[in-house]
Amino acid sequence: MSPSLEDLTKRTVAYAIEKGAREAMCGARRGRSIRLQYRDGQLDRMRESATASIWVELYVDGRYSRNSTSDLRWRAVQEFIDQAIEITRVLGEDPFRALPDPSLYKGRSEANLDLFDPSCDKLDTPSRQSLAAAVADAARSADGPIVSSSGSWSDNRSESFQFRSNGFEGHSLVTSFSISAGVTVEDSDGRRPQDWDFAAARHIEDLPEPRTIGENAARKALSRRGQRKLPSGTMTVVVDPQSAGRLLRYFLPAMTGSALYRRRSFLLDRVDKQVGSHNLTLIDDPLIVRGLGSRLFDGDGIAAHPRVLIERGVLRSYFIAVYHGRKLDMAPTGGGTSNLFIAPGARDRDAIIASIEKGVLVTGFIGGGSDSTAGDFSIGIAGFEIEGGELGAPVGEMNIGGNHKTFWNKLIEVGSDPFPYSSSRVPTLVFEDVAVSGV
Amino acid sequence: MSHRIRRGISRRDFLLGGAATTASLTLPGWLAGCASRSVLPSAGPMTPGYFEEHFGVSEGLIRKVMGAALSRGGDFADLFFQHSSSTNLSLEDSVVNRASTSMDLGVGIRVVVGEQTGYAFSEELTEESMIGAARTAAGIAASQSISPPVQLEGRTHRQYYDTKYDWRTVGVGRVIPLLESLDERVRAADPAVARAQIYFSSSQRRFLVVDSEGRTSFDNRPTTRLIVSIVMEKNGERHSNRGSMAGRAGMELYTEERLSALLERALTRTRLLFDAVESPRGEMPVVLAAGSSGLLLHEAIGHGMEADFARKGTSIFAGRIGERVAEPFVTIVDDGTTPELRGAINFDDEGNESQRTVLVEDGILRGYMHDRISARHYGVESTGSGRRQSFRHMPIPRMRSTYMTAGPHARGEIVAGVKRGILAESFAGGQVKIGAGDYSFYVKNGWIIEDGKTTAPIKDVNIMGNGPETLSRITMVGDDFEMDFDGGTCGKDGQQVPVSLGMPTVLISSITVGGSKS
Repeated sequence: MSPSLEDLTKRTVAYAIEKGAREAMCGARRGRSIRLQYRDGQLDRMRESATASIWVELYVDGRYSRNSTSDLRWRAVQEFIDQAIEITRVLGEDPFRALPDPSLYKGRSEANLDLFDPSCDKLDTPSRQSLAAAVADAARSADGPIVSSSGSWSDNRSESFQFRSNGFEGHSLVTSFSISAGVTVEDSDGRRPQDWDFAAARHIEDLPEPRTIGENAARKALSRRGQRKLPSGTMTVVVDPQSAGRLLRYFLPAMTGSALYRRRSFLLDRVDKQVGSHNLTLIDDPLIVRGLGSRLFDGDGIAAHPRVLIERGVLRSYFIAVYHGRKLDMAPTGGGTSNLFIAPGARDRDAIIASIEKGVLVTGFIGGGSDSTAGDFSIGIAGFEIEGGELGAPVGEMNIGGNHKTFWNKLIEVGSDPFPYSSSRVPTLVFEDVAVSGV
Repeated sequence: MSHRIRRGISRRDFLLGGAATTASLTLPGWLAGCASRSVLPSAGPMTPGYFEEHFGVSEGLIRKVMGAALSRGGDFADLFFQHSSSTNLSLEDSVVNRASTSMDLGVGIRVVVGEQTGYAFSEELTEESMIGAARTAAGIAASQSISPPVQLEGRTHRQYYDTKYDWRTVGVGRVIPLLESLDERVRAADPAVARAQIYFSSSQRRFLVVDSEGRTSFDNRPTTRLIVSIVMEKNGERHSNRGSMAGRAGMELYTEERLSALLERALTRTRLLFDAVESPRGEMPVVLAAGSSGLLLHEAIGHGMEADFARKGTSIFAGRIGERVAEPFVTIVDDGTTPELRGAINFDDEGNESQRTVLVEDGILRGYMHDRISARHYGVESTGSGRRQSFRHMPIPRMRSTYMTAGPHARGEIVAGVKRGILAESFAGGQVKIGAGDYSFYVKNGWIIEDGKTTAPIKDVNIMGNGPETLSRITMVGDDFEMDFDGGTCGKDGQQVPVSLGMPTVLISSITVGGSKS
């Protein structure tokens, strides 16, 4: 049968070196995922995938390429490497390309992150069907003019091994499970508002009751009937924890080494400077037990550690991968996010809303974009009007806009309620004086 | 559920002339009009025999796998064999210093019972592995086995791109000098250019679709894209922007004329950002420039006309065929047959002929875009819209090239009629909620219009609207139709497919502009 991932990576790296690469890295991944969806009372889709692939970084004569293939017949891998080496030799030289200094591999945490749930191997088709059906039935049986509803289950198992010719070895075996529901309802004006809910976790037992996801989706969709558009204005905006992660993700690209090197960042030369209000403390923690973004080492093989990125509004650290670190003459810190946290505040979303006289609660973003060079952004929103401390009519077809350089200074409160089912565990965020457009 | 399109900033000139001549070719050496001949003749790499020659996928093996797929019954099954390769090059600091290559191989197996789908795939084209996947897909069905087709019938299709082209035979040594010369030109063009990155991608996909009726189709699709990305610095201020072009084509796409237009676009659109003022906000008239603003159609109506949403009742356009939705000068089509566009397909990923599908004709809603399942649901022919990202995905109704045909108004007349509004010129993407009809698209470059004239540039502003409402508010359509020769990548149900866009200049009488100016 097929070789182990470890053997495959070592064999591939040895072959690349034999064929003239000075250094090489190979990662191999094997995964299996099964997804079932019920729609309107019957099994609609069942999809099973089993994947295996390798990716190979080649360092040849001071030149670099990154290559991947899913054709793992050994002769095909050999031909693939031969061809990739040939292409690499034709490129221009890049003195900054080399494997990381092996000292960066040291200090890897010994912690058991508990990212694998052995009960995934016990799932069979009937149990998966009953889980998906439970979500779908709850969505379908809600009271109201439901046009269509669906509920899904998916389970995923993924194993990987990485090997670098200068001594790095890393193995990971993880599972993830998710349930989701989508509901479309009829509105009196012919619109068919939809909403959804989902949860994901590394262990089955950490998922909420399947029916709660179906119920939430139905409740959310039904609450979107009778949508209004408010007049344009400058007002307080509360962002729901389930959506706040997306807003944060518009800010992060400016923190990467590649953006800094390319001068495409509004955060250039801003370390130890104020980039947000004192309510903003942002942490990246790769070592959370059962975390959806948890890992022992990053994409360069560097041992992963928790880091404070922004401390009470002051920028402390960027995302610097090895390559751009060399170009910028900065120490590598890890090239990307793992589990993102915003340090929580004292009150949850509903308590915060109760204290707001007038504003908007954002429960979903639509489209939009962000210019990480200049900092301008503009994003479509859907949510609810807040009036006298209470939620009013659903609002939509509206927009918020601003510039990241000033926007995060308007963060006046952070909730106590981080969203647990994501690698961005972000709580309710409250911004004042936001430019909101509508009528 | 929502659906997004990402795109580069587009070129605005349309590929003319020569491209159309490829439209009537047929695959050489393919069956020679004789349906009883073997489906997979031993042949060179450009023929359907490709999967047999390289991977041992014989007609006998295909029948066996099909037999396993139909072992528990079902209305329909298909196999989608794919072998693809891509090479990407990037230039930074004036050196092409990074290549990334990839190779992908596998077969997707689908079994359909009514509107239910079972799907599995195998990345190994061995008998054991393919039959395993076929049995998994068959799990959706639960009745008597059906016999696989006795013989497979190879089909010929019209061609809208060069299926004999092969990017795998184009050495990177041919591409590198092109990228280096573009870098030199961009730096020489303006001393404010502080950084330039150039990205080039090329890919070649060969695939074979065989269905349980024996219909068999083979295609070989070349695709390429070039992106020029610039950062300028002036007086301590920095701005970045980009220009790109793309097509289902080979190196011949990159003519000097198109390349210089691409550079000019990237430079002009970056320079304009330094003069940008805060955009007004709220509801106002919006003029969409000809070309890539076809993005509006993609979001405002396109997704809602994909028949999977319609048949489930989850689209705001469900049940509205035959109704007036726009002024009589509005005609909107989705077309897989415009040669060499990113959205061109010779046939869809279920083997159905590509076509020009009219969505709105003279203001009347005409028809949905169908895949096989929805066509059967509605009792109509497929519109050739069943597309998939790869063999790992099941086909669903998707757009190809979506555009509005030319109308009666002159561009100057359209802008002149706006008292206070904006002109949207280049775009970075969009998204739509199919059921509510609310959509957005993101304007990278635009202009303020005051008293019928464009005044100051604006940047990075999102526009929000509602599909049917926007259609009814299209009050003028220009006579200056342009196809955008870049196109985007559309995401739906986690699947990405290449699409194209086109549009004449259009006036929307009122829509919400998300500016930040008080």
